[in-house]
Amino acid sequence: MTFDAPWALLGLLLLALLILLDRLRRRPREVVWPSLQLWRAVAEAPSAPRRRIDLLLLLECAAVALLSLGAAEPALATRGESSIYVVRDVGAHMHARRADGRTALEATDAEIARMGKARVRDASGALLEAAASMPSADLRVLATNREGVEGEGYVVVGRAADGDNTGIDAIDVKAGRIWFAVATDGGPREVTVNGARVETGKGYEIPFAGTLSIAEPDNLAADNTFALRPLSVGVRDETGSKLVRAALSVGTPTREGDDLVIRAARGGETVRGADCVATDIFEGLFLDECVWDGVATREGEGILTWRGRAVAAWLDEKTLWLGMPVDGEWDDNATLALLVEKAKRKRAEALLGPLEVIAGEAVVSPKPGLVWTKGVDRPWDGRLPEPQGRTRGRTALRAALALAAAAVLALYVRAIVRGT
Amino acid sequence: MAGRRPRAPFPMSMVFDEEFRRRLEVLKRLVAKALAGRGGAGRSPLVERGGRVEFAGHRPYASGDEARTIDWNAYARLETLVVKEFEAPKEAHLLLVLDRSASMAAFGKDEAALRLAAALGWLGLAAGARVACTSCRGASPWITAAERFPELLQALEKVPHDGVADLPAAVERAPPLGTGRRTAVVLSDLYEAEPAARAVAALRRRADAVVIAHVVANEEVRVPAGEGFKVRDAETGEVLDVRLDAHGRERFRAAAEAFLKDREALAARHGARLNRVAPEGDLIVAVERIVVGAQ
Repeated sequence: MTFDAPWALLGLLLLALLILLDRLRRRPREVVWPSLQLWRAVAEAPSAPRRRIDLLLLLECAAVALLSLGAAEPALATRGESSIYVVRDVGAHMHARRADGRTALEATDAEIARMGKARVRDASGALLEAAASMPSADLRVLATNREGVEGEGYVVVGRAADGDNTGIDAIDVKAGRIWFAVATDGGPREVTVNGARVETGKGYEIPFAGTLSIAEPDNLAADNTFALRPLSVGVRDETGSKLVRAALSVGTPTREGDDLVIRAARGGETVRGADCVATDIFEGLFLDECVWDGVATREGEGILTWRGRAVAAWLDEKTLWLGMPVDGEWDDNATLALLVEKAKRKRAEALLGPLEVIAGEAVVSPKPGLVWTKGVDRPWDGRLPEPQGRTRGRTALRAALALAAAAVLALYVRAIVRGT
Repeated sequence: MAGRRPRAPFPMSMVFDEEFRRRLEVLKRLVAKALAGRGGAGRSPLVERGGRVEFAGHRPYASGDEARTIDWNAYARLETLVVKEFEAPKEAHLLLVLDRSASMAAFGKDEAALRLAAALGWLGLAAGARVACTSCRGASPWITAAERFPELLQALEKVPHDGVADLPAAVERAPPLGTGRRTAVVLSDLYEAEPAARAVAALRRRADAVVIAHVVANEEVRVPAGEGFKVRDAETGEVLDVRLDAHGRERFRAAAEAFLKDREALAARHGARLNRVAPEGDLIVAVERIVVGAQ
């Protein structure tokens, strides 16, 4: 049995108070009587053995205990279902190989396997951060390789461009820092981030760009929210340089109203606003080849300002397209395409509907309650979906508690009426 | 509510206030009317006015005898002057036997007994009876005339509290009752049966009528609320640890009932009449019952 509001169990302390009051109530009262004549008859007669626990006290205690238990919102796990929830960090840093040759993720999987039947949910660093603060005792967070990562977490970012195996498995971005892991089978290599040479396993600060969320206001989820950061990663190995031309981080939001800055880095080339960028980004974020054509530029950066922008959204077979007007005109090229995974697509359909949606500043949605949140809210409140069996168990338990409380109340009233 | 500790004496002016006196005036008239309605058969020393003059005999006429005392019928028969002699008028006597033991201090019984005694004394004096009060510590002289009622109040006020009830001693200390109709009223809770019986028997020998005002509070004979008690005897100080479970409650109830019935039987055995008086009730009603019954 578990409790959703365990603090209510403090009400059980009232039992001690009840017992104390009962003791006080039972303490003999000293009275002066004109004569002991009438009392002697009582004192001299053999009385029934004293019950140590009074019926009323028993009922009072039962009522208090039931009320406390009920207020603590108990739940019963249904037989056959695991009561263990595991949030598994699937961030890139979990793929880094440790000294023993295993990745953190492999170690995590081994740990999960050792647990037996557990409900596993993959999560980003952001989810883990939230999960770590969850009070539920049956939730285990498996994130064993967090050294060097501070602050708010973000989901996996990207990998090498154009499908080339540059040796970089994945990159995490953490609150102004970048965390990445280098595959061990790529041989010696030099890694650059935004043009600067970096060492593996260390964090590097990069500027924040902006966030975009697609979610219902009261049902935000991390996988609907994207944090956008400018990033270019270069890897040079023995065969020569290969550059990741651009990458956008995908993660959870932090601040409202930041500009979305897309920086296209192509080696030593000067970045122009109309430059075409093609980047295949892990987790499905995709920039169309000509997306930035005609986009206002500033010192080689394409700038899209979210605040106050009207947004158009399209959803086709595989991609969620986001479009913005440029210089007051709609431009088919000024779109941002998100490759929608199957699971996400379902959600995107649920949110946007199957057809084109044109949204304005205050986003108009085919479904009530759909807004562009721009990532201002916490994406996930740390709650895991409750298995149906648990819900059933809780309902049954609460019904039983209510029935028991009613029975106790009835007995109590009956005892009072009968004067016992 | 449990018993209370003995209290300090209270002034009789509080016991017998104007309101109480006014109600007694009304009561006096009602009782007189009620008795008159019985064809005069019922007389109470408490409302019967004046003493009766009894014929004692004849003696020869002597110089200086009033002519109206001459029995002219006897002269016609005996042809000698004889005068009729009468005994002195016989006055009714009302003796109030007060129990002021510690047991009477509980549940307001003491105050009720004093009010009752004062009321009976007032009615007796108003009816021309002689009234005295007695307790085991001392007695007052006979008081006559209604205007001397304050003396009776003072006497009642002076009756000292006593630890243990001793009604036989109170009877012993009583002033001798006269030759008129003699009524004794015992005001007590009668917890000590044997001494009470002796006292009533002694009174019965001296008085024409003995009335017992059995002063018992309703609260006193009702099962108290609660379970555990340390009961202290108001008179002896003895302490009894008692647990009142359902069985104990029943026994208490039975003991109280037996106590009340036993005292009624005691009164009947000695030719006395017992009136139960509850301090919680209307004392005027109690006075009425005592007066009307004391014929």
